Order: sequence, then C-alpha cells, then structure tokens
Amino acid sequence: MSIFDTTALTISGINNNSSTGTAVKARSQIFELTQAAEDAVIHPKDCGPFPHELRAWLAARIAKKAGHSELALHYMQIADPKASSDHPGHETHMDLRTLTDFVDKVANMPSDIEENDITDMQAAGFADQDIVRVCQLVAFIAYQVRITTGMHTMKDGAV
Amino acid sequence: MSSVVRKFTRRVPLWKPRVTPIKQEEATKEQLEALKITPSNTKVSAYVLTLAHDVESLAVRSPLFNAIMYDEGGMSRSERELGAIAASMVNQCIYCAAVHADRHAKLENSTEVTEKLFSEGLKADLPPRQAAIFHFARKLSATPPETDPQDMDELRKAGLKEAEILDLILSAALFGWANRLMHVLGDPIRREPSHER
Repeated sequence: MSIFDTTALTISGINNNSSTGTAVKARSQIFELTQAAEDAVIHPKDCGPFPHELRAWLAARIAKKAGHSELALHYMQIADPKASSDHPGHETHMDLRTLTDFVDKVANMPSDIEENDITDMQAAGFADQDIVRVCQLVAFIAYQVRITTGMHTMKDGAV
Repeated sequence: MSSVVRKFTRRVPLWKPRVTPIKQEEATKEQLEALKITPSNTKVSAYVLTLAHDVESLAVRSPLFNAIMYDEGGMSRSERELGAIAASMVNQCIYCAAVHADRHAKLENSTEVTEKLFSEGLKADLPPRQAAIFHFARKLSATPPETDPQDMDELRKAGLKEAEILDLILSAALFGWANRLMHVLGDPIRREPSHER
C-alpha cells in the first residue's frame, strides 16, 4: 500500500504531486505507522468483546461528533450495514449506554474525565483490559480527526 | 499521603493508574515484544504496563510516538514540544503538560515560554513564532477542531515551512491521542521527597 492510499492521506485529499505531498513523503514511516495503528484499533486480531463492526461504528460516532463527516462516512462504511447513527446495528449483551457515554466523554470532553468515569465502566461489567481497549480506539480516532483536519487545511492553503 | 495535582507545573508528578496494569512477570510473548520499545525509550513504566492491556495498539503506538516527536529534520524538537504542551493544556492533562514543559525548558535552556503559559494560560502573550505555533495547536486540539485557513496563513507568515507545519499537526494531534490515555487512565500524583530522583 502506498502511503497516499492510507486512510489519513485519502481523507485529507493529499496527493503525490503537491508541496504538502512532498512534506508527507519525508515522513512516510509516520503514515505507514498511522495506518497500522488504525488497523490495530479497528481490525485487531484480538478484538475482545468489541467486534470489528462495533469498533467502526464507534469510530464513525466519534468522527461525526468531531464535525468530520468524511471520516465518519469512511468508518460507517465498514460498520454493520444495519447500523444507524444511534445504534451499532446488532444486538449486544454489553451495556451500550454506559459504553457510548464513556466514549463520548473521552472523545469530546477529555478534560472533564474523573475517576468515577472509570468506576462507572467497571460497574457496568467492563474489564480493565476492555477499558484500555476503548481508550485506545477513542484516542486514536481523536488523532486521526486532527491529522486529517490539519492536513486538509494545509493542502488548501499551500502555494 | 498522595494527592492529585490539579494545576499545571513543570515539576513532573508520578502517574497512578486508575485500572490495574499488567504484571510484567506475567506478560505474554506479544506483550514483552511490545514492551521492548517504550515511549521516549525510557524504562517500562506503570503507564506502559497499563497500555500493554491492548498490545496490538501499544506495539504500533510507541514507534509512532518516537517518530513524530524525535525524527530528524522538519520542526525543531522544542517546537514539537510546544505543540504537545498546547494539546495537553486544552485537554487538562497535567502529567503530559509537565513532562513536555520540562523537556521544552531543557531543550531551550529557558523556562520563559512555559512559565508564561502556566501563569497566563492558553491566551499567553508569546513571541510571534511561538504564538503562531501555540495558537494553531490549541485550536487543532479543541473538539471539534477549530483551525481555519487564516491560522495556516499565520503559520506561514511566522516563517514555518511545509515540513514544519506537518510536524506541528502531527505533534499536536499525537497529544490528542496521548492525553486521552494518560489523563483518562490515571491521575498525576504529587511527588513526595522520598520519590525524588
């Protein structure tokens, strides 16, 4: 895969023959690792209690609430085909309300997170390992939202 | 008795996890492999042992962190640290802000910028180039991000080259990631005299 086919550069609209593309090529390892990080949070080999489709749905939800409709669409396309903005599209035994409340807060109001947000997740039956998995997913998408937003603005203003 | 640090400081606190980290002696082969490369190439910390719960992410995240913050060329290391500090202040990650303010001060051999940031806050009056960098990183770190073409113009007017702008985007965004782990999964704890290095 060329770095220009990675999610980050496709969504940002960066191509090979631009001044932004030249800067990007000098950091090619970073974009290869960024794609590998996306694969690790959306399509891990060991997904724990969070199937790939649910991860993609959560990623779409985070991107949408961050105002990034193109990135949200990218993740929604790999979520369950029956998914809607309010529901992942398949039944789950986990406490979806507690999970989405936590995801929304970590994604959108990280400064307000307190210890009780973690204990609420634990009380809802999420193991510590699962809480770390969710945080990695949310945190990576927060990064992906910002690199694609930043590079898109960079590309548009390049001379 | 330990106490949670609530104000920005350059005095690096301890980090106390809110979840139970893995035990190094019980780590799987994959976890041990991922633990070989730690952020900043320092010793294995409680933070990294916490992240080892998601070994596939950790294995990628650590080399990515090091590449964004330390690879040669592009933006200077201290200016990348400024991007990290801006994100950490927006996200109220006291621990990350302390670590990277301390690094910034050491790289610059001056505490002037970080003193101003911690005393005056996000709107601190900085020299023009640092102001453009901090302003951009602060706006990129908001949710939703608030950067606009005018902010990009300000970076170019302040003399930043394309490679430097890319490094700034990457370092500020990286801390949008790091803060959501460090600030969410643990507390910054005041370092007592017995903890001094």
